[in-house]
Amino acid sequence: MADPSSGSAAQDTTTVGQQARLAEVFVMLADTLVADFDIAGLLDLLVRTCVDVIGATAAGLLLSDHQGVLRVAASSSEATALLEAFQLQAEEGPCLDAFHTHRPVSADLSAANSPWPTFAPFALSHGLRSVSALPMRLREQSIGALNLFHDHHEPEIDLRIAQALADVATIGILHQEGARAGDLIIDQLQAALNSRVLIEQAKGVLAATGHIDMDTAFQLLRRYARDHNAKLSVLAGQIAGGTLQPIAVVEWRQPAR
Amino acid sequence: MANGEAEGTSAAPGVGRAERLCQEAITAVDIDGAGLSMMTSAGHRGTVCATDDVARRVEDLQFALGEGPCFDAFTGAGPVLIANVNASRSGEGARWPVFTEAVASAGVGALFAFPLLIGAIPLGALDLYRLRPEGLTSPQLRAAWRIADAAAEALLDVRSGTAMDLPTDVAPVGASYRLEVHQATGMVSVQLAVPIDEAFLRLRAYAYARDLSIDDVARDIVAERLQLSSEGD
Repeated sequence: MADPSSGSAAQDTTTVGQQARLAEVFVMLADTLVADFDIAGLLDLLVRTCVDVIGATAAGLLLSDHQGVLRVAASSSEATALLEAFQLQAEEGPCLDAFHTHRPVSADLSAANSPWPTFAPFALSHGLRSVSALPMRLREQSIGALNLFHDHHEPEIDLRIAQALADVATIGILHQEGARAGDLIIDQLQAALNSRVLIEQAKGVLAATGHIDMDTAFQLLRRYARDHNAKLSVLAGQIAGGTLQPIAVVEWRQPAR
Repeated sequence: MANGEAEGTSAAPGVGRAERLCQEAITAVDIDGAGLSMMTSAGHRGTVCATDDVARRVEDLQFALGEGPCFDAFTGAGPVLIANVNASRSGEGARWPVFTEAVASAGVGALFAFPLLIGAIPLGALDLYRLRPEGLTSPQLRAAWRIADAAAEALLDVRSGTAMDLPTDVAPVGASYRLEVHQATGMVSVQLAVPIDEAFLRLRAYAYARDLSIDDVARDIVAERLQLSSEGD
C-alpha cells in the first residue's frame, strides 16, 4: 500500500514520462489559477489527471454543500459518478471517512473486515479492488474529498501527488470567479456545485440531440470548450439555457490546419 | 399545516408555503423581514410574498427600477451580501444608486439576496433585510441557504400549480437531486422542444402525478426506458 510519507517509494513509482506529464498539469493549473477561471473545468482536469497521469482506474471529487452534506462535484466517468453517489446514499465509504476524519484513507476493498460492508461489495462488483481518499482541508474545516479507485491491490500510487491535487482543488474553490474578499467558503462551494448541475443539464441536451451517451456528451462538451477557449460552465449554461444550438457542439470538428 | 389550510386565501399552490418560509427566516436567520420574488426563463418576474411593507418595498423597487441585488445575485449566480447599506452607497451598493438610496431611506441597514436556481433554471430570489447594519455569521448564512432551497421548491410548486405542501423541515434541496435528474431535464428539453425550466417542471409533474420519485423517473429517461410525451403530463 502506498505510503504518502515515503519519499523513496515515490521515486520508484513515478516514471520519467509521468513526471513530465505531471509537470505539464501543474503548469496548466498555475496558468488556470492566475486569471478569472472556471472551477468546473479545474475540478474536471483534476479527476482526469488522477486517471490519465497518476494511474488511478477512476477518480471522483465530492464537495460539502451549505448544510455540510457531501455532493458529487466531479468524476472521471459516469460509472465513477455512480460509485460516488452510492457512497453518499449508503452513508459509508472512503470519501466520507476522509471528509469526517480530515485524514487520508487507503484500503483494500476485499479485506475480510471492511469498514464499509455495503460500499465495498458494490465497488468490487464494478471491478475495483482498492481505494484511496484524500481530504480537502481548509484550516480546521473539511470541504470535501478526492477519491481514487484502482482495479488492483496495493496500487503503487504516490498519494502525496494526489493530496497536492486535492489541495489545488481547495485553492481553486477559494479563488473562483466572483469570489470576493470576506466571502464565506459556503457560497463558493455552492457555486462550484451549481456549475456541476449546469454541466449535467448540458450533457442531457447534447445526449438527446446527438443520440449519444453521457460520457460521449461530456467529451464533446470538453472538446468544444477547449477548441473555442470557452469556460466549461459558461458553455454548459449557453447549451442548457438555449442560447447556443446544441447541434453546433455535437457536430463540431476542428478544422484541419 | 400539511393539509395546507393556509392555502385557502392564496392565489396559487406553494404561496402559503413561501409565506411560512419567509416568516421562518425572521427567527432562523435573525433578520427583520424577508421577501420572495419569482422569475422565469421567459423573463417574467414578480413578487410572490413579503413579510412586511419594507420587505415588499425592497422587492417592488428592484422590479420597478430594474436594478438591485436580486438581479446581481442572478447574473453572478451567488448571493449578494451587503452588511451595511449606508456604507455601501459608495462601494458595492453604488452599483444600484437609486435602489440603495431608496432602501436606506426605508430604514434597511443590511440586505442579503440569494439567487434561487437549479443550474440553468432561474426560479427567483430571496431577499432578507436587517434594520441594523450587521452581516451574517456562518450559521446564519447556512440557515439562510436552507430556507432559500426550500423557497426554490415552493416556487416550483407555484409555477407548476401542484399543491405539494410539504412541511418545511423536510424540504428537498435543489442541489440534492441526483445528477441523473439534471441530465434527464436536458434530455426532456430536447425531446419536447421546450426551455429547460419547462422541461424540469414536466419531469417533476410526471413523477408527482404517478407518485414516483423524481430520481427514478430521471433514471428511466436517461436509460431511454421512458420518454415523456408532449401532451403535458
